[in-house]
Amino acid sequence: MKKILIIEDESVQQQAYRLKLEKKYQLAFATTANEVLSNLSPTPDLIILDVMLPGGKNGFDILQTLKESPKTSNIPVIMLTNLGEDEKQTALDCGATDYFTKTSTSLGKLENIIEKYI
Amino acid sequence: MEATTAQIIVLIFSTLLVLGSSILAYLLSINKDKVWFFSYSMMLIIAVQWLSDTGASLVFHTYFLHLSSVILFPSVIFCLFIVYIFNGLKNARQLLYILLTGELGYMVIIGLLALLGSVPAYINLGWPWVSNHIFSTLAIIVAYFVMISSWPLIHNQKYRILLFIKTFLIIWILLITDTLIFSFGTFYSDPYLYEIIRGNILIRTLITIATAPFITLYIYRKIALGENIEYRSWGDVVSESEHITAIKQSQEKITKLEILEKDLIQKNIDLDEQRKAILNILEDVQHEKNLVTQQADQLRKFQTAASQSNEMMVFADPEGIIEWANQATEAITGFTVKESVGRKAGLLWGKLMSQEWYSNMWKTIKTDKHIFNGEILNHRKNGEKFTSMISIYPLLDDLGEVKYFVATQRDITHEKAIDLMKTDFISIASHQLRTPLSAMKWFLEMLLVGDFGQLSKEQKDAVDNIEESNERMIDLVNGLLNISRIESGRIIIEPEPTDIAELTNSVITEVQEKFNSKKQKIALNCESIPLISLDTKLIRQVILNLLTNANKYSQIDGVIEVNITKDDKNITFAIKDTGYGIPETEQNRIFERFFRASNITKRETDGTGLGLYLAKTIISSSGGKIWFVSREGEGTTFFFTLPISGMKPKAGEVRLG
Repeated sequence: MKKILIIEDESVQQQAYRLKLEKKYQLAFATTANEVLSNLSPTPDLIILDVMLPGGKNGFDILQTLKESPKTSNIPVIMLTNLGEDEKQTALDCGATDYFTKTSTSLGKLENIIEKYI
Repeated sequence: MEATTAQIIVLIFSTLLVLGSSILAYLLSINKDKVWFFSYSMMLIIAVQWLSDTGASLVFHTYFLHLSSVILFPSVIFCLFIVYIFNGLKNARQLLYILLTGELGYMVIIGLLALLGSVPAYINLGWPWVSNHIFSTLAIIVAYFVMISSWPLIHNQKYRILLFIKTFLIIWILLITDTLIFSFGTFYSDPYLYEIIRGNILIRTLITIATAPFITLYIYRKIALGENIEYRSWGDVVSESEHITAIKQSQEKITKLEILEKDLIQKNIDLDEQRKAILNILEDVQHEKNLVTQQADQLRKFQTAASQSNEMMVFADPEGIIEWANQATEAITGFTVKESVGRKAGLLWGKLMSQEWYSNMWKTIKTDKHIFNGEILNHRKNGEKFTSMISIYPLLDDLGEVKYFVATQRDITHEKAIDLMKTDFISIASHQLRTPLSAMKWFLEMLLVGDFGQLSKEQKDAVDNIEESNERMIDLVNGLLNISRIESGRIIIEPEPTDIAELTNSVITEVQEKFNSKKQKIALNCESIPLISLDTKLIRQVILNLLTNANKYSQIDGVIEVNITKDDKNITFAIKDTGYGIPETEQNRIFERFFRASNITKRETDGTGLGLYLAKTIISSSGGKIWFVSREGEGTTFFFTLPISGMKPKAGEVRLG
């Protein structure tokens, strides 16, 4: 079972991810940068990354850290956020595999995306 | 007759005549004033004198001639005495003058000469008449000179003329004819002629009596009545000539004085002009003073404005050493004015920008001598950093060299913080509003796809409704955020060469599913259009909004046409539907925010009322126009144009969400 690391601070959405993806994938959740680091073993096959996070570092900071480390730089990172389309370019520039807004992405579509990149 | 007896008779007779004439005069003037008395007495005395003289000439020549002299002197003295008594010395003196210039003068002289002329007769030399009348002729001349010499004594012109006439009558009529005829008759001793001469004597005597005394009388009456003849004494006359000399000298002096006066007047005029010139200068000086005062006032205003300004203001010399700083400098930097003056601004609160930034600044203001505008980061005395907008103006001297720098700085730290907060608010709002919406979206989806077990029909319908409302809420939030971004003026415009037909096609593809679901046909007709510089994201939004509307507000089986044409200046989009149309009364409100036409709100609950507003905002900021033609029940065609030159890029802060 492939491992997906979901970086998401909203418990309601964590719940949604679980309900939808738990049967197919091994899920790991992190809400802060530190938690991300402690969840990198085993190395996830895909990372779903939110932007607005508690604890001072946001999704872009984490993305940068991930991309800087040779261990994690190859992991596909899908950014899924409640921010608007504004940040898409920034995200892609920073090395995100893709960028979606949650309100325009159904779970069905998300499953397709995961399958595409995993 | 013995001479002695005759003389006694003459004396008695003449005395009686004087007394008698006085009494007669008194009687005539009774009940009148004394003026008349004197007048009559004088007239009578003179008449008697002349009568006796005439009598002497006609009959008793020698004796009566003596008689007339004898009568004349006492009567004159008597009259003068009376006048002196009654009228005073002045009037008596005036009377004497009249007599002297006429009768008396003549008589005194003629009497003396007659007496002298009688001497040869008495000593029997044989030519008494000749000698007598030679002397008479001399007397005429002497009397004439007496008259002439008395002339300056009389001051009034009127009396001069009167006395001249009187003297003329006495002397020239009486004496000249008398003397000439007598002399003539005497030489030829013709008896007839002698008779003629007598007759003439009578006539001229009568004339004289009829005229001269009346003139005397007239003058005397005037004197008696108080009119002053204004006689002068010889002393006065002499002194008058002195006076005349003095006057002449005075006149010379006056002439000199007049010249001097003219000089003086000229000098006065000159002085006046000089005075005017000085006044003008003073006026100019006053004007200058006013100007200076005004300028000083003006300067004070500027000084006050500069000192009290909320913007930091600093004057520095060409080396950047501060010469003056305002209160705001202290308020903003924390360095007191005292601390700042004499030091370089860079050493006080600067040094935070890059070396390159500072050299560029110095180059602009010192080398290029241009105004420098920029945003600068400085620090306060306490170390706190602050951002400000700085403007530095070089003030040049006549040679074009920098004399001063005037620098103004506006602390925009707070403004920047607010701006940041605004940006943050949009991000936060977008995030916070969307988070629950996206969560709902996903759970509703799981419900609908049966992740939690199959739903009954009623349950499914309910969840469908909830999902639809949630989607609408998501649209509304996105629309609102987009509008707030565009309205904040911070939207980024990033034009890139775009194929219009391709862009439009891609939007059609995006919404194709919606058209299909309503069995609507959509057709695109596009002229061949070269690539145009457009912000595809923005224009895409416009086309999407218009197509979505066409889809939403047209019936099933409707036809939608998209026509794209171009002319010299613009590309025109026409999106035509066969839908419900816009009621005419509401057409003017269709681009208003949140406005939805009444005919569609009844049919379609979906819709935010923001789509057309957003489209109009985007098109307007792209340099184009948007409008429509619509008829209720027949359909609507929306048009918009874009300049063929393309959209202008704009550096902003946000993109559409």
